Amino acid sequence: MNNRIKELRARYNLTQLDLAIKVGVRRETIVFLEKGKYNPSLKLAYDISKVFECTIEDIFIFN
Amino acid sequence: MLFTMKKFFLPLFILTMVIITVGIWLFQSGTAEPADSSKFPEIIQVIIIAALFSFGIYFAISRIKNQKQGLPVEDELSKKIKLKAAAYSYYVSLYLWLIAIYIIEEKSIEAHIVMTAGILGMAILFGAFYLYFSLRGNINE
Repeated sequence: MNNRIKELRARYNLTQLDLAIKVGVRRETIVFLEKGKYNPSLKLAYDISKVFECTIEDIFIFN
Repeated sequence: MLFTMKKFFLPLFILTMVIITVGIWLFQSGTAEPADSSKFPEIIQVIIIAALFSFGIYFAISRIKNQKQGLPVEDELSKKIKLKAAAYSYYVSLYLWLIAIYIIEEKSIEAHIVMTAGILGMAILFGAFYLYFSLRGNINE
């Protein structure tokens, strides 16, 4: 599964730490998400989509 | 606040108690006398205890750092890593104990020394798996 977190984070001018604080996870989790090394839970995916004001499908792309 | 403090200090407290207890046990049984060339296995035990303590200190520091930055000390990924490391270390430790039983039966090594090594081995296994999954990241696979 690919995702657009890094791209959207840059667009919203957020650091990994800022995003981690907003969605309530550790910074390491954001790092692994961006690298595609971790598939988030539905709740975390939903929280991230709320931060970027788009749908889950806009951020996470299933191959 | 109390819940966070509990989450933060409890693992450190447990680790400290385990290390102190193992240390007292080793010294009382006379297996942790000052190191010389004939006491190599005891040196390994001391190194393992030191490694475990360092591991605990590392965890405590990373938790303090996260808390200071306003991040949770534990999140869904760290919980999954912990669970997976615990499961793998348990699975591997079954074989470890089989080897320990063989050593007690076949070799002339005292049972309490093998058991100490087994308990420390389980702790080391957990630490190693935790580190491996923390670095690898692909926890969903």
